[in-house]
Amino acid sequence: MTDYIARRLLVAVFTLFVITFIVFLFIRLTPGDPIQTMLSSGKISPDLADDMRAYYKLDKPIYVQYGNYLWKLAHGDLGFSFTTRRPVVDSIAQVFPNTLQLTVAAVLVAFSIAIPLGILSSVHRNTPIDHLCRIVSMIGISMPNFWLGLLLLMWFGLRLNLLPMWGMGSLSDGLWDYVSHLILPAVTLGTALAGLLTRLTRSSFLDKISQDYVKTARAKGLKERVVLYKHVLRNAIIPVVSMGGLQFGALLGGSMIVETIFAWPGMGRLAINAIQKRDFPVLQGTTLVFAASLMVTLLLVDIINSFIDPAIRYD
Amino acid sequence: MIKRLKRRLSYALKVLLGNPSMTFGLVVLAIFVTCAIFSPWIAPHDPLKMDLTNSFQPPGSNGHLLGTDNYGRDIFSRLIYGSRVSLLVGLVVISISSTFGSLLGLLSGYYGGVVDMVIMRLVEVIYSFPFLILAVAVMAVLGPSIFNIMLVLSVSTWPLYARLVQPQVMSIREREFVQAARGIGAGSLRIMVIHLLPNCFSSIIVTATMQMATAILSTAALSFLGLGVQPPAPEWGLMLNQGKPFLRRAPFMIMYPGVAIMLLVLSLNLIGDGLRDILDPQLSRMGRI
Amino acid sequence: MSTISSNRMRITISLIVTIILMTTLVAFSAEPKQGGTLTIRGTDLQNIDPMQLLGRNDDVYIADQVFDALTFPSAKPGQELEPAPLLAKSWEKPDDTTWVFHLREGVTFQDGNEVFPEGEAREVVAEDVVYSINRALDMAEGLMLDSVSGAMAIDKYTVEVTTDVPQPFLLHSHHLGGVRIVPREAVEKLGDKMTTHPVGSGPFEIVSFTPGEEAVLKKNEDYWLPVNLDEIRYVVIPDSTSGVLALESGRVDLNVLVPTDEAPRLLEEGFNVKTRAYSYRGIGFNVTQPPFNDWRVREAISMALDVDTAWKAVIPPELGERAYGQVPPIFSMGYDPEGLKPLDEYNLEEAKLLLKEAGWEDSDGDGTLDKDGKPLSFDIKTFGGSQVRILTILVTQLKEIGIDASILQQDISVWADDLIMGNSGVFFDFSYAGLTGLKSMFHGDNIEASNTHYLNDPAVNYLLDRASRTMNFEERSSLWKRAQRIVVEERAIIPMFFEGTPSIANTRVHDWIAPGWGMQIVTPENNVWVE
Repeated sequence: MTDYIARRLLVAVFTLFVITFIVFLFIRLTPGDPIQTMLSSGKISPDLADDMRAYYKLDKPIYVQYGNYLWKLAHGDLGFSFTTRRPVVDSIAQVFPNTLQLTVAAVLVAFSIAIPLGILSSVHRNTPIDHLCRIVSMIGISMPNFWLGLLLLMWFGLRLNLLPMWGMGSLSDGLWDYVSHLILPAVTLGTALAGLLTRLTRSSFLDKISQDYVKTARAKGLKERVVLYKHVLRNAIIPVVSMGGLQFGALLGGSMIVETIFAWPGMGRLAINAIQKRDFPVLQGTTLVFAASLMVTLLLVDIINSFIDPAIRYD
Repeated sequence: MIKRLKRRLSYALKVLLGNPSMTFGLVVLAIFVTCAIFSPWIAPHDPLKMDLTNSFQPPGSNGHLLGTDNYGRDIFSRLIYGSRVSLLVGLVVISISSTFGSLLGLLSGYYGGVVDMVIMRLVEVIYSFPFLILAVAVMAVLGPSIFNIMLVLSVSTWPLYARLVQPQVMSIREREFVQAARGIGAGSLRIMVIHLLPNCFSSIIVTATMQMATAILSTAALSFLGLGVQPPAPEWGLMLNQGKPFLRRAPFMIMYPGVAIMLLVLSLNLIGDGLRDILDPQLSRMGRI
Repeated sequence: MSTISSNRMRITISLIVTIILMTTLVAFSAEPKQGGTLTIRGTDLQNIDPMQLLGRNDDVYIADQVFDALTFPSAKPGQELEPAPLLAKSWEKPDDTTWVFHLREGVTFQDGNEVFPEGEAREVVAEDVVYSINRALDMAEGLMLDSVSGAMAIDKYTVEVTTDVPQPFLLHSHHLGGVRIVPREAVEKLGDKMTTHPVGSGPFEIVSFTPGEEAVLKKNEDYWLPVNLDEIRYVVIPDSTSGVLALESGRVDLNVLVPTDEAPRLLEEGFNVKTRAYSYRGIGFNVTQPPFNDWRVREAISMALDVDTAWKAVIPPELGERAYGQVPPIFSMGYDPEGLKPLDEYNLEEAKLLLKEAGWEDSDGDGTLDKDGKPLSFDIKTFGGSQVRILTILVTQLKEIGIDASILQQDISVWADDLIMGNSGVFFDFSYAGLTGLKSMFHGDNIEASNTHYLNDPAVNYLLDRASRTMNFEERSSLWKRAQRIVVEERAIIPMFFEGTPSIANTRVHDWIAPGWGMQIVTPENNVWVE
């Protein structure tokens, strides 16, 4: 087990290294930098532009730039933002927990919709209820989330005036303040996952219901409800949880549009800003952190799975 | 021969009747495909024709079934033409990524060793890339176009097929029928394509159907950000992008394109879901989507 | 009984009348109300060190409340954006390159903070101005101080600034007018906190500042002008549609720099819409790129475009003005609509003739003009914004005479790079002329830097060179007009319109000025208050 984790970590570090390289090349070999933008709209003079390029070492050969970058990276320094002059590490440290909270909330929303709906569906397999659940969950998967977000904002924020329209709440202003700010963005982000997990819960339940130990329990004359909750639920939920974990990473990186619509101060917004303004250091930093957190979740899911089900072996 | 065909048809019919949601999906998809192929005959108006004095007409007025947009263009006609882009992008993306991904998965599973390691590391790198950031960055840098959308979506989704095919190939490459083929002197290429690949077809088809849905959603998302299809072309995501500022004045400008996207994606997902039940019971039990 | 009830009635009636009267008074009188919170929506907040603002509007707006500069851009009709006295109560120019500023006496820095404990703030003096100018020269990005060669304190309240060359725009907000005065102690004591909790002498003090989320400011009780508002909350909502929804919900009072699309409806619904930062929008050509290196092609395209119809369909009249040249109306220097209007002509027949003369004909009958087997087909490169709507109309017009034009929306930095490197034949053209001046835009020396049209016209070069050597307003203005006329005649540019990005407020907000390159909440000219 320890060997396995060590090897996975090694692979993760290697993958991250490759990613830094790709991102670096991609960004530097393509046209456009923030200085150029300011220059062409007449905001700065050509002389100042040259000075700024020298200051940010944009005038050095690309391998020198990459070397510098790696050296600093190894020391935990992601550089300074071109546009805000803040250290990239600070910006990321400020917003990463926010994205994490939003993502966790979205996954919770997804679970709390998916598990009841999935169980309902499997218990009433191939009845109108099942088909209805299938359609509802599929609609969830099929809705463009940016579209859903705008409609939710218009209805619950403006028309009904029920929920906050922007930003994060804080626990110091009470639990409701915190939760109410989370609801719209978390629902928007979690809807598709809810649909996916509903389907998975259904098939996982169907699978477990037909297993021998369930049949034995039934044969022993246990009540249907007890069988369902005690024997089926526990086993059937494992693949659902592990899929939730796997999708967690994807949600982390998919929060760009949702964060923008709901003014959620998170990583997605930081990244999209950086792309628009060609803020290389921030773009590199966010991509790296996204990739790293994705790998960490994958690894965690693996480890948790191996604890829950010792039959899973890694070699 | 005819008997067999008959039996198959009646089986298919039985399956469809037993799965109303898949039937629904097929009907909706058929409608969209018809719209895409026969757009010029179905659309009542020219999707590009502007009439600045007739902008923001509500649905149903002046012969505009779903109203007009801010340039006075007919929304219904634009939706009809828009189905072309979505279906085209979806089809091209799954063709490229499933072919490429399956082949790499095949190579990786068949040869194992260094080949496997290199391919699977590559898969992992692409897998851990935050997709939307990659897509937005590529579109921002290479410039927005349908071609670039297809490129980005293909590049970022092929690992899915490689991951799907690789373990399946690994598990059957030592089976008797493969050994037998090798025994009679079949080359590696032949074994891979004729004997191994067909065993993966059903899971590839299921994944591809659902990935087509995802590709259509992603195309719409990129166009929504202004990084996809360019105006004045009629495309659903772009229609959402152009309707967004008028959310309050003309909500129908974003309602209908959103519904169109949802219906098409829904139909593909329902079909994929149904196909999985039929083709690949094992996959469906594992709940992979 | 009846007396009591009628008495009660009388009281009720008089109460109602009083309430109505009071409401009317509040609503219609210009009598400012003290206190209250103004909630403003912006798109981002990052770093408000006044020397690190780098053109980020929202940060500039916060910095404008915390700091005072020597001058501020006036909003008086007829003097739009002219520098007006703020910390400097007056100034004179002994010669073309020397400026002497006389500071207002008795202005103090904010107290009750880490730098100056309550009641221990000191006065703003000439040394502070010199220190701030030097700090700006050292590190300020986004300010164009290249021409400033030195600053020195003559006495406690007098500062002398010298420039290398005559610089008529010295006091505009991207030059010395943008240098906000910081106390040396703050920079030394605060270190990195300068970027989030700086101390200045402005009308509001920072209470909290969370990058990317929110800034809260409170009234500076010791400000040298009376301040009406108690508090300003500046919230970040990056998406413009979400921002407008927040405004409509009443949870936000003022929405700065909203895309133009939203404005007409909000105007109809009773919101107040104002604008100030007029900038130029047009179509530009790279005059060295085929087929646009042929003047006839550029002229034909300009004749085939019905710009009047197109821009009116998109920009409400309150927020824009038709452009005939490149210099916007806010800079009276070189603004020349009367002289340039006759050059604007919409004539499809003439356009077709010119194209035919240049060799472009529809020889294969496919509806698109061609020459030597190549169709007349090109992308107009632009970035996202209201211009895309206008270009959508213009492109449709061009298709009607057989030009296969389409729009290519680029990321703004790619767009800029393509322009500078000369990769774009025809592009959406926008600029703030007047800040860097026509010289940077059209002088041959600036090709591959800021002259995106690649125009290298000896006459234009000569006129612009002469203009940069004179301080005389009339002379410079007339030289600019002559140069601009040649640029338009050359059809290096097809001017479309000047657009002011609007700011929108609900009716609670009074005495406000549209933010442009700065935001004035409390100045000698206005003092914002809320109901």
